[in-house]
Amino acid sequence: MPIATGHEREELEAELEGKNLLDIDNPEGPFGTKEAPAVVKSYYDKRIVGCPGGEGEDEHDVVWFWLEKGKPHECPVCSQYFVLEVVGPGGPPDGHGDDDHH
Amino acid sequence: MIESQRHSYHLVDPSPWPISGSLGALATTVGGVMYMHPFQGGATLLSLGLIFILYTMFVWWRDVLRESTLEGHHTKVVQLGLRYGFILFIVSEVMFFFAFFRASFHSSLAPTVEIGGIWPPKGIGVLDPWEIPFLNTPILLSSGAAVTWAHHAILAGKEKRAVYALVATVSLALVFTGFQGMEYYQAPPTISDSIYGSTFFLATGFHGFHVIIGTLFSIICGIRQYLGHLTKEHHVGFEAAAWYWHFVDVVRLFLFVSIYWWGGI
Amino acid sequence: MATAMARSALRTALRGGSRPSAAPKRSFASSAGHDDAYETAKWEKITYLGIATCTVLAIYNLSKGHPHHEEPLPYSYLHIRNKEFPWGPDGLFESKHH
Repeated sequence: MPIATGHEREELEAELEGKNLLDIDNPEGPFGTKEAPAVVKSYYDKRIVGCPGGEGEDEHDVVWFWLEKGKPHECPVCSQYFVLEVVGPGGPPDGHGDDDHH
Repeated sequence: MIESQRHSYHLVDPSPWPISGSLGALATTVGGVMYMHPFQGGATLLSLGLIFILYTMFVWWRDVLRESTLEGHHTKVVQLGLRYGFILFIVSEVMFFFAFFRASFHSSLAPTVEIGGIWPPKGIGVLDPWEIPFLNTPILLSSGAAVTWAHHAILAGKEKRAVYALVATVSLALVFTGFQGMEYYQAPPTISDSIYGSTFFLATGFHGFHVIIGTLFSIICGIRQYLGHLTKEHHVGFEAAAWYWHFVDVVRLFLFVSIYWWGGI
Repeated sequence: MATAMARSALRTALRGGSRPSAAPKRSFASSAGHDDAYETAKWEKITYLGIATCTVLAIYNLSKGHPHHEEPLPYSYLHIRNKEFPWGPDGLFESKHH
């Protein structure tokens, strides 16, 4: 392990364990439905997700939204169904508590 | 260790240095114009502006080193961005020097009647390219070899050798600058001797200035190498200095061939 | 047309644009330490060779002495002065006493 700290170190440590911290990004998979939702992984309790619609003709302009733990989201354009799976420490992503930082 | 973000990008903190650098640049240009025209206080404003810029450069780069080495913000993606940024900077430098070569060739390929219709202009004393100009070229090339030595030493994990190699790089650079000063002192033309003097000193002078910048850059790398900041996994600052140094080397080759040799005989 | 282009650009940005694997792997950073040790020794020798050559060249050059140039005729394009320099009558590197 070379000298490194902070995020650089996290990244290197994950690499030594054979992991890539960013593997959870750019998820791909079949169109999410209520029965078989599209699962988006997150290190925290919520993250921003963009829905590009289905394949080919069913594609639409990307719609962005906050996907929160325990609150599935249905895309207002194509009705694709998303749920959040927390794989990290959880809690708010900005590290200061959710809406009460002034 | 729970960090407050989980993405690869470095969202920098607010910093006063962009505005202080801008104010320094403003004072420098206004002071420079005042200095070159009959205004009171031009020299003072110019010096103040330059001090401001130098101070800004020092503290800004100090902050970058802290963010990188002490705070670990320079992840792989950030390092990639820094490399792209530096490559773009060198491309802009290439264009900067291209302009001086263009000016030189514009004046020398078809010399005007006003300078006797020949190049070098009639009556002007020129440097013998095979004296100091020829000597200085391999000195700078050897310095380039030394920086390559340093690069491989860093990649091989030989930290001490890398420090020695950087000492060699800097020493050769200082010898180059010394000889360049001697050449300027002995040079028969001056910058006010025709378009020959103007193009010659503009091109070689800016090259010399870039050698000095590269020398400072290498000195910083040497110090950081000595302190153990640079590892074989992460040495973007060194890479940038090495690229810059090779760029300065290449410019020197073009200078020697086209301005000292072809343009001076 | 424009929306289609914007959409495809967005899709690229979304799916692959920020993927770190897009970062090019630097070839010689990943090469084995042995090669670098070999290259280090090689470039060290090249540097020493360069320094030796430059020393010989420098001694030869400096022992020759430099030629003294005659004052050129005062052509109008030489020693141009439109106004005095801010620091005085002489240009930088201009006070030559040979």
